[in-house]
Amino acid sequence: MDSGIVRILIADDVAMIRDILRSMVTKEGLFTIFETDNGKEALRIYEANTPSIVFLDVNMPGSDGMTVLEAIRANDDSTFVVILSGENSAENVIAAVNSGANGYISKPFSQKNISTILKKYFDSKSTAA
Amino acid sequence: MSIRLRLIAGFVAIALLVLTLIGIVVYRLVESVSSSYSATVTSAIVNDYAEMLGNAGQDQNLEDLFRILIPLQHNNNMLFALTDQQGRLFATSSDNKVLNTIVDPFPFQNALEGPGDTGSFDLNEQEIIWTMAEIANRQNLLFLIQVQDDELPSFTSELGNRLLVTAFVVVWIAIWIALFISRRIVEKNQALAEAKKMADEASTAKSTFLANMSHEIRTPLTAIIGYSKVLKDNPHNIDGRTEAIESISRNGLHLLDVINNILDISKIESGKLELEIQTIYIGGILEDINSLVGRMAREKGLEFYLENSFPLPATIKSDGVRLKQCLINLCTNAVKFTSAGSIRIETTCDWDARQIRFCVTDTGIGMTVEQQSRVFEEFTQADPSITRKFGGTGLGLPITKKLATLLGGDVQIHSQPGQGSRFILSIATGDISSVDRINSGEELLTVRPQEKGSIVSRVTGHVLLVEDNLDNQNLIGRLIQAVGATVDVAANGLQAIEKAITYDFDLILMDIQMPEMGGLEATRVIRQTGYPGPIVALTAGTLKEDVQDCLHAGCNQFLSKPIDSTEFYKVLEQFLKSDKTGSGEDQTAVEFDFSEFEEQFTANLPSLRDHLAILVAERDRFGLKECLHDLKGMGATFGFTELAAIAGSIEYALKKDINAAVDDDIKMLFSILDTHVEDSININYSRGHARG
Repeated sequence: MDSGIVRILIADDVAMIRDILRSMVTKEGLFTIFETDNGKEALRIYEANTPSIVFLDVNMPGSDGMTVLEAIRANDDSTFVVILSGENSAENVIAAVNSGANGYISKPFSQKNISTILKKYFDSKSTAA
Repeated sequence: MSIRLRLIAGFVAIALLVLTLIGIVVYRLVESVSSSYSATVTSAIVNDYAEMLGNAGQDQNLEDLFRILIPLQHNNNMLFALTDQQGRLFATSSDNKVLNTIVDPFPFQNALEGPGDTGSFDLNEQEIIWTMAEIANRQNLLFLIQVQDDELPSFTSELGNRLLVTAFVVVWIAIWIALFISRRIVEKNQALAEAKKMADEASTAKSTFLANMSHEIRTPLTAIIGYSKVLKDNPHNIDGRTEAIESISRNGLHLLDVINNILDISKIESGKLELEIQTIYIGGILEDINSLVGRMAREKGLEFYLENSFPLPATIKSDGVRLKQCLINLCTNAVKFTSAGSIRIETTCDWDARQIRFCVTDTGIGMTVEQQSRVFEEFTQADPSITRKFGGTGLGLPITKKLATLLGGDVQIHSQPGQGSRFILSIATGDISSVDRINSGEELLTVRPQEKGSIVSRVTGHVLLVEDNLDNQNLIGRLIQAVGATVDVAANGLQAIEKAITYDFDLILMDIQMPEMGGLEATRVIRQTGYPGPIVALTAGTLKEDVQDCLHAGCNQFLSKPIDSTEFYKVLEQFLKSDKTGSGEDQTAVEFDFSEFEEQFTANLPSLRDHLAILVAERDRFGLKECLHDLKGMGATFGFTELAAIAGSIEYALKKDINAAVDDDIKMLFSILDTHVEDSININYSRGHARG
């Protein structure tokens, strides 16, 4: 379905987090990266650009990450959605997983986390193919 | 039920038959009465009857003739019969129908010779017809039969006969159908009864099977309970403690094996049993048998001997659990059926045939040849009265026989009633050409597997241990730390998820049965969040389905509880990186020793003693119980068996509110603690070595 460079959407209200995440992601390969600081914009970009991977911060102004996740999952099972959160209660994790998150990364995250999650994405693509 | 139905069906059939026969007889009687007539038969020549009726078709003419004659017969009590030129006979019947009958010759053929002859006969209607026919055979004659009775015979007897025959046939068919149906019903009932019988038998077999299993479980339990009682009754007798605890531990482990094997018993039946062929130590097997059976024998006042024909191989390749199961079955039988005398186990090895033989000889009740032939049949004992007298279910020997066959050998019996029995168990040893030969009893006992200080590699990595039980947290945590890995503990699935998402782990050990959130669900969530590392399930369940569930949830492997340290370290080695900094580049294994923990544990003993003293002074029973529980677990784990035993004994007393011996025991505990504390100061302490 997708051809060429994998598109990634990063949605987090903190610019620094977006910077860190972007730099970590780009260390793992060549991607087209979209960024936004709020949930509404995230959904708009998602609809306009159909990214393959979406990083969603849980706490964002406008529409939070879980709401965006649910909106995406309403009629799309294939987009790889990763939740970013600073609050790692089991409840949150379970809620995210049950809503269809493909990954859950706690803040602060490491290069290893990002590498692992991208590997999971590519593994899922190769097994699906 | 079925016999009753069959009787009823038979009775009905016979009744119908009798009724039919009676009917026939009655009918015949009635017929012979009612259809006997006195008749005057007159014959006349009718040469030209065709003429008088015209020349149309002959048959039709005849019919026309009858049409004229029939009204006459009623008025004159007469019947008419005539023959045509082809010799066909026509007669009128009382119901005004034309009879067209060809009949056999009649015995009165000479009675009426020619036209105008008249004779009187007592005839029935059938005979009248026959008579007329006989005469008619000769010429064209018209017979006038004057019947003297008031009424004309009705020509129904033939019809009646036909009806009768038909009725008879119908009745017979009905009888046979009835018989057939009743037979089918009987068959159906028989089938049902058979099905019920089979179900009953299956149910009985199941009960018998369960009962037998309870026997298998009871045997090691006997040792456990017995030795526990020894410990409880003589809490101050330090000499026997180590032996008792070792025996309890060993038999506990055997019990665990048996419980696992119960699941396999059905596999023996279906031939699907898989053996675990390993290197096993003859000395170890014999010592276990000695401790278990020897004790049973001595308790019963029997002498017990182990005799070995040296040389014996130090090790053989076989399935230790199954071999032990066979020996225990044979030995417990020997003890069971012997009231006085001795039990003797002779071990010999046929090096050329690669067979090791265990002869179990008793001086018990013995068996007849016929009984011997039956003992290997399932669910039977030599004699049904044996069950009443000696208990047991009769599965032990069949299982033993099957296992022996699986182990490449056999079981044979030599026995005579009143002379005792000798069971010879032989099993294949595998290749023993290069195995050490043992030439003395002492050697047999010293050549043992290295139970202590097993060789394990040091590893490195961070392990998340998810486990709700505190003792297990301690034990497994220490096992992990012992080989160099670091450990973090989560007490339930929710904590596990939080820790797994927050920290990096190289391995997650996941207990499956936990409160809050079980291990399977936690594993599923952790996998979904993207945790890429290995997850190993820890569970008491050993069924294939359990294993499947674990793997399906995302576990890489499976360790069954209680944790076997050898298996445990295999798993750690598999999933964690070996530590090359500690022991050099060539991955030299270190001898795993608990001394590190013992030291750590001993170092904490003074503060523990003080803490206990405060609890005792404050009479804080709850705190004391908790503290003693920990002490018991740690003591047992790290080889402080006396401490563990006394702590356990006090904990038990506190739990059950048995206050009598508590004070003494607490004094005892403190004296032992003091010894260890002094030792720990001298470092050079002696250890109670006891690990199963």
